[in-house]
Amino acid sequence: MKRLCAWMLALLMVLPMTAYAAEDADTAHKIGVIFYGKDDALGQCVYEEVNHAAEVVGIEVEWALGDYDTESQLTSVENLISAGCEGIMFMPIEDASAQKVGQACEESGIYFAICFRDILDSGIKSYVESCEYYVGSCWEDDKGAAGDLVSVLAEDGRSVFGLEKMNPSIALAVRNDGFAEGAEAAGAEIVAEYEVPNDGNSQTHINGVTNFLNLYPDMDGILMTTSSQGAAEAIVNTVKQNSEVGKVKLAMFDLYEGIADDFAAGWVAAAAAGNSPDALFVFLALVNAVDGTPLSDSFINLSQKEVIVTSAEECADYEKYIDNPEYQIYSDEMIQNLVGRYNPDVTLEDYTEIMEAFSLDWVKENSAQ
Amino acid sequence: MEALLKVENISKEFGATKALSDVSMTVYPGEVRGLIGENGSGKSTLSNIIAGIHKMSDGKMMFLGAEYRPESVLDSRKKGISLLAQETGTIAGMTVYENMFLGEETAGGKSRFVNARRLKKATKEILAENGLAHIQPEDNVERYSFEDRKMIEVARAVWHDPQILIIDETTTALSHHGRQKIYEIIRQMKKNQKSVIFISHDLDEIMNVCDSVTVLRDGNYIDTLPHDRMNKDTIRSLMIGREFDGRYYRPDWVCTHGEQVVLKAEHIVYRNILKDVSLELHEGEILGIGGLTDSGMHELCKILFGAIRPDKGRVTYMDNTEITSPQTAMKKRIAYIPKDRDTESLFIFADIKDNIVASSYDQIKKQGFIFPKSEHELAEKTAASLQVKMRDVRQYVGELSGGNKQKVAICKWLANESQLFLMDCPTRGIDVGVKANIYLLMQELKKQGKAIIMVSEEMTELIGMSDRILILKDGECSGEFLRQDHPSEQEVIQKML
Amino acid sequence: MQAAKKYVKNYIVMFLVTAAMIALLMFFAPATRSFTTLLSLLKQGIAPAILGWGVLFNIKAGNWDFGVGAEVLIAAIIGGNIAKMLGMGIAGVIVCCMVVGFAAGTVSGILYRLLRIPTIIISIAIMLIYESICGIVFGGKGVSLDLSYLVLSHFPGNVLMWIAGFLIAYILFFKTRIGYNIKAVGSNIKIAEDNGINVKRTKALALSIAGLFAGLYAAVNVGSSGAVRTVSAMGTMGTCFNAMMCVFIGLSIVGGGNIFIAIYFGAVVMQMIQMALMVFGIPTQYSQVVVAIFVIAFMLFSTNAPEIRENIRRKRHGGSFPHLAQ
Repeated sequence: MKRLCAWMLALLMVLPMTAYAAEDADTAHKIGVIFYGKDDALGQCVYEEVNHAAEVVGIEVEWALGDYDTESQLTSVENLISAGCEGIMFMPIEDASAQKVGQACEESGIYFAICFRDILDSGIKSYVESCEYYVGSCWEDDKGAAGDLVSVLAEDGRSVFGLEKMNPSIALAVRNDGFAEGAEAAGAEIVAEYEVPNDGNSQTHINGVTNFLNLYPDMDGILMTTSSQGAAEAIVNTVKQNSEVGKVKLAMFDLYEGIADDFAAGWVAAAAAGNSPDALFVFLALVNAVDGTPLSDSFINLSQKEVIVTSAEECADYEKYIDNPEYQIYSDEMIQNLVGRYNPDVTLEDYTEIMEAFSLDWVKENSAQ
Repeated sequence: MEALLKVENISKEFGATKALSDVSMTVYPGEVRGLIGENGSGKSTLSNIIAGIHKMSDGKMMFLGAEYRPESVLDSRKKGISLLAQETGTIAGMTVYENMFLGEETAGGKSRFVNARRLKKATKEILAENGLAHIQPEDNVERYSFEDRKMIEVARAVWHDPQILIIDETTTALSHHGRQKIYEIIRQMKKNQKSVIFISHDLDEIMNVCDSVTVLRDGNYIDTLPHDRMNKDTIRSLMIGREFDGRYYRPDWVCTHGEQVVLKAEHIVYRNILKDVSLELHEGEILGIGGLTDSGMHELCKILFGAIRPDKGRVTYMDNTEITSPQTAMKKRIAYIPKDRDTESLFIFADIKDNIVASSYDQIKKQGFIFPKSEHELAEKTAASLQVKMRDVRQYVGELSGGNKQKVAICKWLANESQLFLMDCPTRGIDVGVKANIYLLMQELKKQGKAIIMVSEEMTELIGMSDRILILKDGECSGEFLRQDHPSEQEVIQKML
Repeated sequence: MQAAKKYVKNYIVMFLVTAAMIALLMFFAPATRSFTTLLSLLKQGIAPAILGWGVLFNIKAGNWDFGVGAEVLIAAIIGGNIAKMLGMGIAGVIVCCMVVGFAAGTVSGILYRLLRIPTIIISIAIMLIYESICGIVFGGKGVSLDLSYLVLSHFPGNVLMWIAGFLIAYILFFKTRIGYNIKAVGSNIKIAEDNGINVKRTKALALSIAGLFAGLYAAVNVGSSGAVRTVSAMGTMGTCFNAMMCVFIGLSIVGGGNIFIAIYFGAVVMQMIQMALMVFGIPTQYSQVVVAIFVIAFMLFSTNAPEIRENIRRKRHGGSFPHLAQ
């Protein structure tokens, strides 16, 4: 039995190698994308918009989904390069991943670009920015968004906060700093915190928030660096069961299922919605580089404003126009205009202009559909 | 008379090793059948097959006229055959009552749920019936001495009222009192027309207790001697397959040792067990320590090795180093061979090589590295010196017979070139052939100037091997005998009791 | 009277240790000085204790099962979704989660018996497989329950779950043969086997029982939080380790008392540590370090307690101070 299993395992490991061995000279340029997944709305949106854009500009895309640590992202980039990808777009799970994946691409002469993240570690940032094949990055202004979320609570007269904190070692930890700075600027105080569990265990959230409410009766706001992996539901439900409407309000990153009802009921004050267009612009910039029509001689840094929703109606608009994988924010013409092979006059300023214009209202007015 | 148990053409293989080859035996009601043979002869294998621990590779068994194929020890017990095993059969960390009803916690109960109260009550009754009223059912079994734990196993074996009781080298582990208890059980079973299969290396015991004896050698059936044909020389010859000249103790009767004191124990006090014991061991001396099981001699041996810290007193080596831990003792090349080899001496789930080299890594390491080749060579050389019966040094020690295990235990200390040996019942549960080897080894070590302390519960062994005998009674030294004075067994016993 | 004295003697250690730690917390952190805080601690200890009870069976049987966290995940997602689809209410969630959890644990046990490889390896494979399955079933979205299901985070739901878990654990461990067999196998495999206990079957059953408790814990989780989402890359190991810590603390303070109550107190102690970290403002980066230090301290105490008692006895009898081992 053991021998049979060993043979099967060996076979399973060998078979995928043959899939990557074949080369077809006639295929279009191929770009690999390493992303955390498409289980949630953000992931689905990214998946759809990148695939749509690729189809519109005549590029083949190869996906590597489900990597949650540096080692698996490194494995994925090696596999994608072996599969013939000429460019890699990825969302590094941590700074070390940015370095390792970047290094793998650089050594293989493959263009690479980063979406959704900035690199915090100065040493790693220097290295990546010195790479010849580094196209650039686009990230959301998490720090600014955190400050905006605190402002919403502060404008509501709230000043005593608990913090659901991100692990300081990962890229999203910039949200912790954003909340801290935002609270200071608003004259508010973060009196207690707990860390988001790695194992996604909702008991940690339940216990953390219960302790907030019991130990700090004056607490009137909870700042959440993430709503994913059931965090939002656990926190909101705990607050609902242990407090009264209006006493403690929540401000969070990312939306969750049911948030519109909670907005309407008064449990949630504001949410920074995840913005999918990051990936689209980085992807198109990478296409330009692979096509030999780069937007700049050096790397580029694009910044994406985050949409802050503060009501059930805004939630509905966001869900209809932005957080909807079936809805393409940008028309085919807009997409092609950002790529050299269709618009030889495209510049970096075109990107900046369209990104700065991005907002919920703009999307409603310029709806592609 | 109809046979109670018929064992026909039993064979048993463990991998490539044939432990039993075509062995047949018949036991009749009311018979006490001795089963004897050298280590590795297959006695324990045969008894384990009868008791349901092992399955036979070939052959047939008939019990009470029906075919008998026990699935397990529990099954054989239910059918009427109980086994009293050679080594420890109680589990530390569990209570006395849990051990008593191990594997049959719901037996005799009205439901499928375990009724702890019922088990405790039943255990108390069983213990009382067997003269063990001082043992509490709720206590963890490790609170009790080796002897008491063995007696718990005895009680467990007999409370099922078996038709056949297999006693596998149990008496050697017991004190005089314990042995008497076993003999009483045997007498009672005989009286009730039930049978006993009695395995022992003690020929005197076999001759006194058994109606007949079956001899095995190298897994083969040799002969069965009725009582009128039983004599020691015949049995020994059948066991080893050649004439045995009967001498294995020291032939000389002089005290020969050096002047240098290599180990000194001064005013040792330990709990209520040792009250004030002092001794000196000289180079080239075999110092025997005897007494009843609870005299404190086993604890004294542990204290001399540093394994137990005394409440008062000290143990010093010849360079005045105080022995306070096994590590200190080993640095001074002091060896310790405990009485309970399976739990205190050997790594039962490791192989022979790992066991032998366990204390010798400093000797074989080169620039801080230990090479498998060095380990292998040392293990093979040392095992060969004591003629350990094994497949190779990679065989698991747990698969060896009792005597070969003891040889491996001794090999460990020979491998690291020990100078001083503390031996606690070194020939317990060992056949005459291996005993002779060990006695020869002791004499050889003595000749080399190495010192030996031998704690023993066997009078003949103490008198036959020691330059000097110290007797402990109630935690104190009650007598000392010199070899040249030819002490008799009566004189020695008087000091013990 | 004797029985009462014995009872006190058996439970004094676990009560005193837990009470002392809570008292210390309240002394140094005024914010925690309230009955509400005490109640909150007792409440927070319920869920981890339930999982800890299941983990105990594995530890006692000598199994290393890192898959228990993944079993919680799969029980919550599959069990919770089925109950929701069939409109079975919270009772259905509990039953379905327990059934799925038990099945998940049993698969581990079957694989262990079939493949004859150590439980630690089986459990890691199972963890990866279950995490992957959770990413596939029900669209990979996990499970979400509305407010009407969320009755297990407060009285009487949480207390009823504690009672149910305790009764199941107590009966299985103390009143059935499997409990005794598990203890025997974990203490000495050879002697257990020689006495007719089927070692492989016993260890496999321990895995199943742990899965049952994983299901119960999953029910409490989803019936408190309302949502459980998928986890990958061995993320569920954290759940497993937290449960083990409760068990280790429980084993060190059990004295002569009931091990399941001791594990519950161990869980309370763990929650107390988390609360202390929050109240004293110790950065969360250090929380794992602090927890680890506490667990080591507890284990140090319990492992060396016999030697400490022996040294005290020796000193009382006029013996010398113990030498340090060389």
